[in-house]
Amino acid sequence: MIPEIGQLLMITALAAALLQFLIGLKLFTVDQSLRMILIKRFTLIQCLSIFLAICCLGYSFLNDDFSVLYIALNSNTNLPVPYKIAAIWGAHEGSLLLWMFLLSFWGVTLAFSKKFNDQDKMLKIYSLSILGLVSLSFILFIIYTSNPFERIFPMPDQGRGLNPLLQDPALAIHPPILYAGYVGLAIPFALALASLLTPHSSSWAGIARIWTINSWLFLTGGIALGSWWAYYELGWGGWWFWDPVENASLMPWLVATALVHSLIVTEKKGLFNSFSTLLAIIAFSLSLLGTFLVRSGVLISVHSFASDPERGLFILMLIGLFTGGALMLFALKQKRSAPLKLELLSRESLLLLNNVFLCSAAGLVMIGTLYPLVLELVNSEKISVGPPYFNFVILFPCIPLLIFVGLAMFSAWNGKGSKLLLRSSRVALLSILIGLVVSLLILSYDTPLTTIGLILAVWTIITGCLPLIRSRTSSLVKNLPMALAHIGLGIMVLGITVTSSYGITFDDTLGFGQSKTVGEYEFKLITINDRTGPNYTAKVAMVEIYSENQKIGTVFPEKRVYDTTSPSMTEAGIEANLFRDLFVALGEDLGGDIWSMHLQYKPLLRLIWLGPFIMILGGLVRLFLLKPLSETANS
Amino acid sequence: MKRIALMFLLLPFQVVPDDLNTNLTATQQELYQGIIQEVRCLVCQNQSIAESNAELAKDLREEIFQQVEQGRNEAQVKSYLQERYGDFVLYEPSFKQSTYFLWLSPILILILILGWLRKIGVF
Amino acid sequence: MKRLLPIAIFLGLFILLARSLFVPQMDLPSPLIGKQIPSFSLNELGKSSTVTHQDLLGDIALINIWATWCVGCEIEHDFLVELSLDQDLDIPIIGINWKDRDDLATRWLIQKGNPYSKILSDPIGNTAIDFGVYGAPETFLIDDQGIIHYKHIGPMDRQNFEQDILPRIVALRK
Repeated sequence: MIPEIGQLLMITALAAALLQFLIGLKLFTVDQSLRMILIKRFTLIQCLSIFLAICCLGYSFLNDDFSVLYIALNSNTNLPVPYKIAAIWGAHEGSLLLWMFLLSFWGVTLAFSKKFNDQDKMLKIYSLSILGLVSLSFILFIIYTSNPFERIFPMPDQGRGLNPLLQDPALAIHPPILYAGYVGLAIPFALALASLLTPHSSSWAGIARIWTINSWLFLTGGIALGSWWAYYELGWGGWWFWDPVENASLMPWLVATALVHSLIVTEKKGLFNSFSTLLAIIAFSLSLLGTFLVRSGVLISVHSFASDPERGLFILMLIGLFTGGALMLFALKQKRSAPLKLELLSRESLLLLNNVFLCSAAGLVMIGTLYPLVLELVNSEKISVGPPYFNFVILFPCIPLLIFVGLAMFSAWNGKGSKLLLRSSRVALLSILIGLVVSLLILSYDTPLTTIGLILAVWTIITGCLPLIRSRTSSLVKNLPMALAHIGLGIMVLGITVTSSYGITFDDTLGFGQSKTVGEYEFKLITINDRTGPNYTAKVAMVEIYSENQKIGTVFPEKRVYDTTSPSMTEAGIEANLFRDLFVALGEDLGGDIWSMHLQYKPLLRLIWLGPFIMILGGLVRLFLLKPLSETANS
Repeated sequence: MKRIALMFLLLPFQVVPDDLNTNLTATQQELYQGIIQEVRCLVCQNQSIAESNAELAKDLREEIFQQVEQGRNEAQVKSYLQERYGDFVLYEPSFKQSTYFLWLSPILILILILGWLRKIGVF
Repeated sequence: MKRLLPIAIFLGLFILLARSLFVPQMDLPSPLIGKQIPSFSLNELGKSSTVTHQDLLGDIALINIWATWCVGCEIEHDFLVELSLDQDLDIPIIGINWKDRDDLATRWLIQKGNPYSKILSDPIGNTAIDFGVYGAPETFLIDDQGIIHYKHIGPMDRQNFEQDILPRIVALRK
């Protein structure tokens, strides 16, 4: 019964989305205020229906209703309750449902937003109508290709269980956060298209910026969380793999970052309007591309949990409709902007320059990700493009990007270049000095790249602090978001540079009571025991870590075998503080109480996630602390 | 500023001492780790053999370990694999006619950017 | 014109993605095609005699890498037996038993029939690596000089044998 109600709710949502789309079109002669009321209602109905549908699915999960195919495949009676809830989005069908809910939820926040002025009513109606069309297509997609409420007969006694990779707190909340970021980009997309349809409205940029920051926050959080999860769960201690699925989330993030900055200029100076519009279209298109790559199985990846050519085809058609349609509209309706006259090193130019570098970084990631596909089709050649390629080419846009990010902090709107260079030179010299001293004297010299990375990290952090040091207390809060975002970036660069240059990894065999020295740390294997968990059995090692003969901690790396699936999973043992991570993963049993072990010493690794965390803080300050400020300033 | 510099002073960095326990020296271990991260596990979905627990990955790790132990360098080990499994096994695409565009794309993009910025009048 | 540039780029991408969706994934091409089989020295299954790569020269033959733990090999096995009984074709099949236990392999052959003219055992898998094997079953076609002409990945059956391998055998015999 409950699954059928869920099904009905999906159809209700479909109808609501259809009406939401149609009302926005000028097909009926309806009074504008009535139109507004109706479109808001339907947005809300759509969102509520999807929410209740998710509740139906959750209810069936909690009651182990294995007559529902999706539940039989992704749960079983032994699964702990929190993971039964997380299993709702544990595979393709349910995660699309979640995606759909988040899309309709963002739609509601837009519909009931007070950011729109009276003359922007049509902007709002059009953007909601476009969102209606997006929702409509995704609900159709769910109903036709990926129905989570499908029943099976006869009903199995036991479900197959959730993918053990997903049975982890960080990964349980990772998809909702990442999806919220992905679909949040639908809002600036819809606003950009609506602005093309309402030429006299100029305020789209300001409104779009809020939602872009919104989804940028979630994307940042989602990507950082995913990287953290991969670090401790995939058992090998890497934190970024340049896997197609990771790339699929990185590309929209890069473009969304560019979009946030471009919208600042469009909002404040009325410039780059067509650039911002195009970026908004590209950002959402890249979200769709990401979905396509993950769901179609075109690029085989560790993370592709579901793949199906029919689904791939459907998503591809959606990409054709939305990206193709939006680019057409852009080509037809975009006003010809007046020729730009920019000072080379004015704030406008520097922002533009940085956005271009961010986009080219996204472009390079895309080229690397899709190149094997092209080569296979054109040349019947099979190649792999992986970390060695990406780590190298990404430097081309990122080094100038970091230089200009710092320079931009000294710049003024329409400012002159000569002044800027004068003002920035002292800080630049200081950063170079610190970078050189640290890399040559304090640390052992590694490569030129390490030194450059250190200099740029210091440069980004100091210049990020400048707006706080220079500004009066009244504008301190106003500058805080930008400062935090840039300081976070600098900290992340610092973490990446130091970890990848000075980290040490050792694979070795250890017997009980034997120890092994990595860096200045000594790892001692004490013993290995058996342990039984709720739905798995595990080997648990006890490893003591010593530094200068002082015991600094004990870790318990595990190797788990889940009841339902055969390959074993590694749970690493990690002893960490802000300055270094010590990582132990259990390898193979070589017999005679001797095991192979994977040991790592990674200095400053935590900064790689601390950086994004600080960036997120910056975004949160912008959304929640600055809002009341700007509103009081307006009144 | 001082604080950042201080943070570095506190960090303990040392050269790894050679250990009697292991068969590989620290440099060899670094070489070995570097190679296995750049070799693709052919039976896995987009993992390097360093990350994978597949049988083939274990065998190849073992093989590479032995070769590094015997003093072979990165290029020798990589060409050993390439001769048997083809370009696909290496995560670093080789520089040849069909990958010119791939490898030159960063420079190409930089040139395009400069051209575009000139055209719209930033310079 | 400038406005159409994004559309043009998008169209290119779109076509690429659409094609990749419909063209099936290609097997990994082997770099050993056209080259001499790698050198090895392996024990014959269940015997103490050793066989080297030179013992395989002189005949056009198939080299089949298999194991009892491999699901694809079980599917393929009946066809291999059928092939070995084909008098007109008369092609020797040399088996390399990969990372397996001799007792299990012997029992499997007794139960299912033995299509192989020679079986070598490669318990550690070193020779398989030299052959560039990544997943059993894999089958190589070699000529009388020991040059590899074709590699088939996955289970062979009548259809893919007649389509991909038989014409090559015929061509080699001319």
